[in-house]
Amino acid sequence: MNLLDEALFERHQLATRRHFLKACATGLGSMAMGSLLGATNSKIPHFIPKAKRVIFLHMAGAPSQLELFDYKPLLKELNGKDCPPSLLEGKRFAFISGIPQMLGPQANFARHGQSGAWISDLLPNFSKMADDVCFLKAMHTDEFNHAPAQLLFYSGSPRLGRPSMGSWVTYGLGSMNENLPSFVVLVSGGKTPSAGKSVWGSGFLPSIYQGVQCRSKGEPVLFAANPNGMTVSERKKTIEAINQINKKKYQTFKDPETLTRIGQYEMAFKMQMSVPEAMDIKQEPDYIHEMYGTEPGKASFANNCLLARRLAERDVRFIQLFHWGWDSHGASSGESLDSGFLQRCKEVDQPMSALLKDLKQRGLLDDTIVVWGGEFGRTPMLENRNGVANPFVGRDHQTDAFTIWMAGGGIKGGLSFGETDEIGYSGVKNRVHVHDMQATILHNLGLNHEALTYHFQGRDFRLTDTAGKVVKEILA
Amino acid sequence: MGAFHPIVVHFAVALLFIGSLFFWLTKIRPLNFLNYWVGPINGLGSGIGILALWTGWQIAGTGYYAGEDFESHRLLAFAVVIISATSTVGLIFFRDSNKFLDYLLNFLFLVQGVLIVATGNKGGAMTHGDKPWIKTVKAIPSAKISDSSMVKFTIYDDLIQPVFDAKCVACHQENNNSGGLALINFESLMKGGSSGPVIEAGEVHQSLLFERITLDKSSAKYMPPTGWPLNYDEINLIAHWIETGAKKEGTLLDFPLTDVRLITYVEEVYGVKNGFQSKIEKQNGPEWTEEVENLLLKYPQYIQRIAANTNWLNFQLDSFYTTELLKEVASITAYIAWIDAGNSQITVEDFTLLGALPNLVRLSLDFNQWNDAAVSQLSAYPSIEFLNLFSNPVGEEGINTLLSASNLLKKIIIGATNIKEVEKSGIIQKYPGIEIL
Repeated sequence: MNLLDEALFERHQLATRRHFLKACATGLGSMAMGSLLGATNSKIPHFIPKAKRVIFLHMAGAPSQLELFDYKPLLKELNGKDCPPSLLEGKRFAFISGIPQMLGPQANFARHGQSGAWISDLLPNFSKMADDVCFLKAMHTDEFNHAPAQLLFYSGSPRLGRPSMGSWVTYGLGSMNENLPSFVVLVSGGKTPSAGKSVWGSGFLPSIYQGVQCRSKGEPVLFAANPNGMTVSERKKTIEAINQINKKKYQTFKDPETLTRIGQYEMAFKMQMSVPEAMDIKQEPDYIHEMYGTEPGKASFANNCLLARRLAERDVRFIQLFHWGWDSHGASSGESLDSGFLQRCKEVDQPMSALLKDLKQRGLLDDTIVVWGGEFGRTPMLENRNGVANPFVGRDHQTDAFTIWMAGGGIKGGLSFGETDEIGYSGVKNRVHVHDMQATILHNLGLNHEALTYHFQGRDFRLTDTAGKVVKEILA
Repeated sequence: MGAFHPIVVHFAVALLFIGSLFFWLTKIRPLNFLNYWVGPINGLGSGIGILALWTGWQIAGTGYYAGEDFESHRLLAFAVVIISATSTVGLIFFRDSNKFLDYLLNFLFLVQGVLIVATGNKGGAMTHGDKPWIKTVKAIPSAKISDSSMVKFTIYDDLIQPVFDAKCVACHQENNNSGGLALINFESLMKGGSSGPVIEAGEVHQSLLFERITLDKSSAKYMPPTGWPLNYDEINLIAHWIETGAKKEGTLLDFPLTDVRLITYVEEVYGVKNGFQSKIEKQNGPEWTEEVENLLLKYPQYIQRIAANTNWLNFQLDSFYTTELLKEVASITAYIAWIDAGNSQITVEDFTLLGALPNLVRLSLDFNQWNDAAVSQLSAYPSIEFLNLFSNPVGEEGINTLLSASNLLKKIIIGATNIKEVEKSGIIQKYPGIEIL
């Protein structure tokens, strides 16, 4: 078939499909609506899942693996020495230019747990959870700048326009909760990630699958509360009227986005009741607040971790946390290994360990995958922006080696998978690409990453695009 | 050229068998076709038989084979070639010339058939051990066992011997000239060879066998000298077995694998799941009846299929459940593998409306009001593997009653119950096989 024939064929196909839908407006059309608006829009996974939901803790800006998990004693000896040119040939860096110096680990390491995992003293609480966690120490990615790397991490492509992981998961598995969105995003650190809202966008999937950002301070969802003087029943009538109009529009134009809009109105109405309840961490007992280090009414990573647990308990499918401020170049004190980085570690150490512990004691960790990581790693070299030493200690972006950890939901605990070379410059054993991580997460949710596709612009798309391999070695 | 011996031999044998078959068929019905082809086919078989003799000679030259089986195999093979050549000549030139020669020809074909069987038998005995016709050859990929649980997988017979079977026993038989070492079973391996024992339990690098399989391939002492060498994973498996004491008895559970690559290898090649596998992962569940389909359509918010490749169902209860629902679900109770009744405020009376639940493996009852008496009744559900009792007013007594009765339970969550920390550690000590959180 040549291009013209193909286009004609496509047009005929569309024409007949539209005709068909129109002819049985009460049949197919309403069926689609039924499934979209149904009480639980639940779908069946491909095979028996190990996990039902995901909590993703993203340290936006990319934390340094060399200060936290990837212990390199040789780097300590090389500290301050010039980097050999052979390591720089053919490499591209965001900022390093000329010949940088090597930078030894800026923290003290020890082995923890029965598994003997290396964790630095910057994460004293987390080191007690070592045996519940699987470290992927030879992760690698293709992009060395934040926005494209984050897009690759979540949507499988460094360019805009693809659905994010949470959208794929809710598209593949549907919702487990009729009152809450199945994909919730919580942001802390005072800044959204560099790639913007696309990292929780639905791309070409119907927008009902996009992530809903909830604020942890003040009203959780803006403009969801009724204005003064509006009663619940009045609001209900308004929404019913709007939805009836929208349903008529749908009968005429058959645009799936209309269905999404109807669904969103209904969801918004339900959320007026359920979201404030779910997001109210004041209901938690004191010992829980102590455990997480939470202060109600504040926007913090700790509050978001506690919220994540509350949402997981209410069967939200995909919970995405972003914490900004990990871009430790050393150009300012806030973004340096000797100051800002230490602060960030303090902010996340207690809450993320508490989250793991809390999920575990409630039996939720068995079917929840928790993932922690940044979009890439950091260089074993001291950053010298424009060839001049930075005012503070820092490292540049690096794609060839970084560490993330995963826990629960069918992931083997107490395992360090993968190895990097003696200076942590690139992975040498059991490397895991970002696409492999995505394939593995989908696998544990019962989804075959090669079969979870969506037809768009003439071809089937998938999260892992044309790559990805399930990392079977880390499955429990 | 010795490597081609098996191919050439079997080709020759096949032709000679077809030749004999055609010959005997001509006795029943002298068809033109058979009459024409019987000579050439038998002749070709005989000719290739000579080639087989030559390739066999090459193997014999390596000196790995000796002994009674080897000598008889060689003699018999000569006899086969001579007899089959004679019978071919007789067939082509002297057929139907007189009665005596015809009888002789019959006799020659009879002898030819018997000799082929005898030669094959002796040849098989050299490579596959005694009585090869009743022995199946174990190759590694076919060593997959049907019940893939590690409990049944014995460390030596299921893990190590198949490696020897695939790569070593062709030469290392009782009577072969193979250093006096036979690798046909655990006892013969431990007996060692003419240079003493080959396995030092716990000492991988002191073990002669390990040394010989990891030498440089160009070394004259490298094993196996011909054929496929042992691969990296097979060598590591043997190392693991020696390291853990080179035991005959015991399963993979007693000698757990630690290397990630080795675990994956064993999982893939032997089909063993290195870890806990739920009952519903091993079976697909009973076929659905119309009743199941109807209920799935009727209560999509309560009953879901767990996955597209299985018949098992998930039953999701909320606090709005009705007793009618439970009674209806009771009719499909055998299909239900998971029940999530967290925060549903279901009472034990209502729960028993569901009936027997013979395949219930996962039960979540967190944030409910189940006390000692209620929890003890859960021992009526024998296949529960995971039980979540977080935030229920249950005490030590109820848990003890339940745990002493259940044998499949793998994990139980008893946080935020009436059980004190001291009592909890007591329970944990009492039931070491169960993960108690």
